[in-house]
Amino acid sequence: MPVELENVSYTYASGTPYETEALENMSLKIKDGEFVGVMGHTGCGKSTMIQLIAGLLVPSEGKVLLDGNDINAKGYDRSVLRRNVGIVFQYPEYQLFETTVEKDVAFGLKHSGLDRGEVSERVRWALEIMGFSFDSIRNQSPLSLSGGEKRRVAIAGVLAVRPKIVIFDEPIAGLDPLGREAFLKLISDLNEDGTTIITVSHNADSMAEYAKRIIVLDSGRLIMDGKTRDVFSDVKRMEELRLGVSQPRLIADMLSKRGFEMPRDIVSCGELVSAIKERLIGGGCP
Amino acid sequence: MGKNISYSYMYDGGFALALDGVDISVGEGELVAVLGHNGCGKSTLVKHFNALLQLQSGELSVAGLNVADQKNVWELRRRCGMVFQNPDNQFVSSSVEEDIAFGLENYETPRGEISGKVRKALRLVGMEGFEKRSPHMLSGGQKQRVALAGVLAMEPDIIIFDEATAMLDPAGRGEILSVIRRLREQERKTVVMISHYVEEAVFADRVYLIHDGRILASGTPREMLTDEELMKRTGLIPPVPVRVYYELKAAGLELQKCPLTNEELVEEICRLN
Repeated sequence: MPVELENVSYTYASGTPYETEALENMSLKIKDGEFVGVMGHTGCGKSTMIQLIAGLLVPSEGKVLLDGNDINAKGYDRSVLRRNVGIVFQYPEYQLFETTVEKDVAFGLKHSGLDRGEVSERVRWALEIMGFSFDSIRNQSPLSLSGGEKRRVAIAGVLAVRPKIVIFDEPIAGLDPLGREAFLKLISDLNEDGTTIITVSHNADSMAEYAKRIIVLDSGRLIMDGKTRDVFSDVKRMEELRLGVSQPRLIADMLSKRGFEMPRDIVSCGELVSAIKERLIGGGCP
Repeated sequence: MGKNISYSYMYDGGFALALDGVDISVGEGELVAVLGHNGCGKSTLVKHFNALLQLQSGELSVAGLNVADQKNVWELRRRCGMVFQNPDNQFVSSSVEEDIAFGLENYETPRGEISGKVRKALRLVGMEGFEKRSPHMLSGGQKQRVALAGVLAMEPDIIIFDEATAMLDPAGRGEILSVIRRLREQERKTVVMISHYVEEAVFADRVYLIHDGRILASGTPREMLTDEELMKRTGLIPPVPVRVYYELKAAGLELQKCPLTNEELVEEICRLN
């Protein structure tokens, strides 16, 4: 189920003194099974873009197409959109409201037509995939959990619906390192199984490791779009944009400056380690 | 400062022990980092420092004040300020200066002194010129600095950062960290920083590792963060240089010492070359 933005612009508070053009004539196509990292400085329009894709905002100009259909056209069946596109907000804990974790996660399945047993299985699956023990968490109040736990419950609620496209707005902010790794691995697995992942993140290290394609926005425009490796190798541009450079990339550059030549395309920790090994042991055949 | 603190959250159907006999002490002017995974009890612990949570068992005194004594609550909250994860939850006013003045007004600060204190606080966080702006229209890092200025205006001795950088982009995080360093060096404030970004603990004086409501270990950042086994038990991932060190070691390449920063790692590798 491909998503397409066709010359989309969006203006906030149109006609007031606060009028701001958040997106300017953006065109973009995301195909099935992609893993797209969306990066950009605060206020660059990333959140606006994903809300447009999820149909939460209506473009001021242009079209948003899901599977070739304009989701804002008159007569479009929005349940198709809702069933297939899930969104996890930046503060997913604000998405929680039920009295127990189980009910909260089950909420999105209410009108899904699944019977009780199936709903319960889905909820168990979603909670377990988010690293909880279903039996010990199901009856707790979502509001009594820690920050990171709330976040995971909220994500479980979205995954339970099994959308084809999942959009995350800063999903790993606030998660601890193991939670972060586990979460990224999980969305990689979902992606392997064919789910399209679109995620906004400031975390250059994580994006370098997991995303396959990176798009960068600046002042409401798409300014970079390419394979993760290519985008992150452009250290100068990334630094100019204050987007942060992945730490292994930074270390590789520091080494190169000291005369310890490192390849120009290192982005992840594993790549850094193998490159150092190769240099020290020699010839790549230890 | 604190001895044998335990705390349980009560639910309808029972309770969960969040802190289990924690001993912690933070010296004057120290920068202490408290690290642990989500739900380990680190926020619960520091919420005792200014009596946001009431002590259930154990002893704790902060700035010489017994936190269990209800009479001390106001004084505690003035002496020990707190910055939370999400600055939006901390704003009460529509302009930056009014927001910062809020705490001062509550403490019946004479009118004439307020504007001076507000200005000083804004200067400390590098946000002069933003007095009339709306806090909600600022960037994440700026918001967090305004929240911090609101705390600083009270002239506290101790400042607690409860994952204050977790929601910020790299630029915002850098802003907050440099303000924290400045507070320690120039203002001699005592700082307690809760985080799970191990990189942020590198410049702390001391690190506490918390796991399942207990203190697992404490020591210098070097002792704590370079101990792979200990990091793993705490549920944390060591900083990149430390990871590189251990992976090289596993491949038979031993660096002279385990590096904590990028610079140290580069130094060690160049030495080996």
